Amino acid sequence: MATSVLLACGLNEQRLQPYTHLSEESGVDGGFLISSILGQRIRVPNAGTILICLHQTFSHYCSAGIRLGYNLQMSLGKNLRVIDILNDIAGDFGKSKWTTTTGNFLQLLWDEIQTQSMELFAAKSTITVIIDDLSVLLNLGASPGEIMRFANRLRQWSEGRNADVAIVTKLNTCEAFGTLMNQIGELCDIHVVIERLKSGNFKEVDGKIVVKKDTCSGPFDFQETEKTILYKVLERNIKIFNPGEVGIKV
Amino acid sequence: MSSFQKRKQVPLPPGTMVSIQSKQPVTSSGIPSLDHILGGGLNIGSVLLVEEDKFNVYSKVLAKYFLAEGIFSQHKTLLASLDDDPQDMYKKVPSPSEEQITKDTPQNPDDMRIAWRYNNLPQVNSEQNSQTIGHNFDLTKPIQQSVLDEHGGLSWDGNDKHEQPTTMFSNPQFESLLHEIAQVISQSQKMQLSDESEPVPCVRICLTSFGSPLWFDNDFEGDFIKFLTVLKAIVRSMFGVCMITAPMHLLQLLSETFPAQIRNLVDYSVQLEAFAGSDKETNPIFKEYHGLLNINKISALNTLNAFTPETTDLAFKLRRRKFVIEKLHLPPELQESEEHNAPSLPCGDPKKHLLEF
Repeated sequence: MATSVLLACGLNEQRLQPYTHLSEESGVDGGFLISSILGQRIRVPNAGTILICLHQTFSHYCSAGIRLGYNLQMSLGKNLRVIDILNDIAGDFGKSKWTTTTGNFLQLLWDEIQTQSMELFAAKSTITVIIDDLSVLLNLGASPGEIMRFANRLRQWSEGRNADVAIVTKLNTCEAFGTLMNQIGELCDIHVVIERLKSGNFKEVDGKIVVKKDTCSGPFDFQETEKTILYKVLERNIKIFNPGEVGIKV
Repeated sequence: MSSFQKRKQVPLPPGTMVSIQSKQPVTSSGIPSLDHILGGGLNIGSVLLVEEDKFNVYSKVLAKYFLAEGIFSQHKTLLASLDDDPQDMYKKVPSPSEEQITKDTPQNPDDMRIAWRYNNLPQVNSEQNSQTIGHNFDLTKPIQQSVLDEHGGLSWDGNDKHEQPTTMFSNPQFESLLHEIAQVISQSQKMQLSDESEPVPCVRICLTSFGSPLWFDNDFEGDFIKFLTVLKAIVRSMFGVCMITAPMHLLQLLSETFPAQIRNLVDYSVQLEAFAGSDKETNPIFKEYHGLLNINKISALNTLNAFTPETTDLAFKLRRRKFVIEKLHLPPELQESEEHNAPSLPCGDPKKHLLEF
């Protein structure tokens, strides 16, 4: 279903890299990658997942997951915990802690993640925290600096737990927050950029994925590998192509 | 005794249906051709952004269609605007056309006796038609006052200030409008709770000229984005849809990336690029149309992939009775031009290397 795209991005591992960041350009929808990662994580034995819903409500991830062949409702409360911020805001926006505590809600989110992770660590050995997406935190009043500090804190937490914690974050309309995207790109181990095709729309390809991987072996070794693939999201699976492969009919 | 119970089918409210494409409940935008382009209608829980034309003529027509569909489908409708008087706008909402009333009558089988097979083919006119929900409205027939009194919608014009002090926004109008929307939704939920056999009433929210200079304040950009974030959260949780018309040509002057941020927070984004006042007005290629309709976004809501329309080359024209969206057809080239006779390279386009696939 989505294994090919995860393999291409280096995300089909039992243990994910400590920090993976997805940057989504405007004009493309990278939600399929979050659904693919979610599907992969809930199938890994002895692994827990915390999903922070900022861009879509939990029901969206459930419906998208069913198309990819997994049911999130079955995992809810067992190896999946959900912090549905969008749903909380919809309940009573005037009293919701996410809208009334300006700037400080990042601390609230941090506390919430810690509480959920403590409960999950009682039964699971590894945890993946998925945040979709960081731009909503900016919309709610956080500054790019605060988001950067929050991302750094998550990274340090992951390193402190000997990579028992993996962080996956997504930033939509990344070109609007170029500095933030670059800073988080430097911080993360795998940086996946979902771009639209610059040459126009094409029915057989939805967009382009650029995977940047940090492969430095020492403190003075700065090496980064970069790979580009093309993708097409279908109703129940995701197809990937190498650049130049599409259109070849034998 | 068997423990199995027959699953009760939850009835859908009038004016909604399950889409064939997305397998999700959808409702009409009021314009059948727009519904067809967007994949059978607007998904319940979605936000449609209409990027206004410069003179705000055609976007108002779209808003009227949206409201008319709500009124005639007995949806709970809210119209909010600071620029126009909502009550005046309600009075200009169109009624269903005569052809809509006679639509269900069977066609005469003698219509095409010799070329009878052509009866099943779509008409030569490329105007799209997906009529299972929605009405065909006649713009020359304004709504009757009695219908408006019976099913008329609610309105917000910014005069009803909310009593509580605002904590979320610099401009209190944003919070006041959000409270009004929340009130409409809670009323519709109460209606459903009072009679559980009845389907959940559908809610329609229409914000016209949202983000016009009348909304400007100290922290306008922050307020605007925050409002859209909260609105999206509210609309997701309700059984209804929201349409926003916004002057994007003005908003993009505030910041280059502002339109992209706005489009990120909506599910559908269509732009009305009117020819009036532009070079295209006198271009013979476009003489049949009043403008182009650009689809900027169709998001994948509750599904993996977004609907892809057959074509994105669309144009619109405002006829006397209706607003029509069609595939853009160029007129036939009858005269030989110099370009046509120019020698071309035998092996493809020299710019082909710029393509990414």
